[in-house]
Amino acid sequence: MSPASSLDLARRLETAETLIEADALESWLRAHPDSGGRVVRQGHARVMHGARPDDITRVWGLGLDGPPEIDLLDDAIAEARRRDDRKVTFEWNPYAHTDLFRVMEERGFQIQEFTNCYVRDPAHQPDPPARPLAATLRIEPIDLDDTPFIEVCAQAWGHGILGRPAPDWLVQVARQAIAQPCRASFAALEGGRVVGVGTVAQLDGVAFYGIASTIPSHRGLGIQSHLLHARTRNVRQTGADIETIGSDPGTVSQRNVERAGFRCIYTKQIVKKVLRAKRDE
Amino acid sequence: MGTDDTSQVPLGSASLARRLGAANGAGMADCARCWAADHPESDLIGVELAGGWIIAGDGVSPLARAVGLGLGAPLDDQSLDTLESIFIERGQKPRIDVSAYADPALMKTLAERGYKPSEFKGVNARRLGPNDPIDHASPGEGAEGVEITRVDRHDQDTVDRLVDVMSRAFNPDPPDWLVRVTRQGVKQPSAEVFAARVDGDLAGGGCLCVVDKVGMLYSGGVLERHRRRGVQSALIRGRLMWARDRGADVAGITSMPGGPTERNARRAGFSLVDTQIVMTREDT
Repeated sequence: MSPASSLDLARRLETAETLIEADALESWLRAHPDSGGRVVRQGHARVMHGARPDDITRVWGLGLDGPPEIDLLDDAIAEARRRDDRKVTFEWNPYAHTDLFRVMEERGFQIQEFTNCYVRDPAHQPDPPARPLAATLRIEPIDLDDTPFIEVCAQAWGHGILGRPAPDWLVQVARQAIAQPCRASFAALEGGRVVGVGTVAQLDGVAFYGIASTIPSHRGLGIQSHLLHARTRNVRQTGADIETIGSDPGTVSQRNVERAGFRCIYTKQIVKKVLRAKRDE
Repeated sequence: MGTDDTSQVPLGSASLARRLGAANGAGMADCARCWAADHPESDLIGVELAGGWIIAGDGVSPLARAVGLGLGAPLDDQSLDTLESIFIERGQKPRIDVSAYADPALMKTLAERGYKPSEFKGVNARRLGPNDPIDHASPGEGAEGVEITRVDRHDQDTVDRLVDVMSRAFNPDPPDWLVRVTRQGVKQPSAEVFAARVDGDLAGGGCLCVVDKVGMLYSGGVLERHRRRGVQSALIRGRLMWARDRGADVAGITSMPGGPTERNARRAGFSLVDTQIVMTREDT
């Protein structure tokens, strides 16, 4: 990787990630045209208005092609207001144009949290997980034609992410993502029960590890390390030239990612503009 | 992508980020304290507060900031009040470098107090140890005619010329504050100072401060006419060798995202371990 290519690399990774996620949402939107969801693309920038009842508008990639795409951002905010969304979030890449400091301040965005972007060279051979998988657990690939199993996996993923059973709309979006042709997905099973999920999607030589979680009762057993290892073996059999994964600073996930040989190349700030309080607040 | 073990950041970036933050803050505060001791007319101050450091005073000095706060424990309102009063008493806007590993509540607290993000900073680190690639290269290797030497800080003539060169490396027509800040870094008692010469001409310089086995590199600059000849890489390598030979097991350097320091650091085997966001309270 060229040391001089930080911005180019950021563009490439951001584009792959958002195209994969936009594709999953758009696939779902085609089947649910009245859901209220919408994806807007401009250069490396993306806006996604979630399908109802999701009430968040998400923005990526502003300022990666030069001065920030102010019209796109303002249109996104206006549309979010029209939709009565709760907030607009933006993943702010540190390599983006510095005018974003002014643009974000003028529009009242505030920093919500940090998230790290990691990369790994597919030539890197990671050690197998330090802890063997419990005898009662096994890792299995998810068959993209097995719709009922995908449904179960999507439910398990949502449960792992939220720490409780996920609402139907989130399960449906996850189901769409897991079933993406560009994605290889694996499940951790205990008996016939799905207790963890991990996927990897590939686009233009970028392998993007995402859609991963373990249900609360089975955390701390090394399941994600084994799911990551299974996905790594899958990526090694394809032509990806770079692997990427996201993780929040200071988490168990970050430790697992670094143990697997990924290194952090930038930290994004997730900023938010609150439009209204939650309905139940 | 480098694969050499010694050039990779150790596991557990959170703890490494804390270590680098502590070394950087302690070095900056030491620099401020020593300058203030030698210049009673200066309002520069370096104090420890709530596990971090505040460097304030000296007008528009880029040194003026709070670093390392909120890394070990949450920052309470009383500490923030103290911090702000130190800056405001010196006519400066409170400025805090917030690590990605800082207590998550800190950002919310700062927003409520009117702080705004003003820039990003990368903190890069590199392991130092035996069998390091720097062992197999002389400080000037790859740069013909380049010589890196350690400077005796008591050699006033050399120090004066080096401060002039380093200041002009950052700005061909350096303002007074830049010359003063460069001199502060060079005169810092715990710093080691290095000069780069190209065919005998003074071409640039850089400083190193080793704190608790962390070697922090700073103020590295090369005059425009000597750039693109590997001088900066040689300066980095020379300082890394010095730090490693004095017991440092890790080196750190801060950079602007996408800037020349970041590129030079990557070439020298540094990896990003922390991205800080500089938060400034503009309404003071």
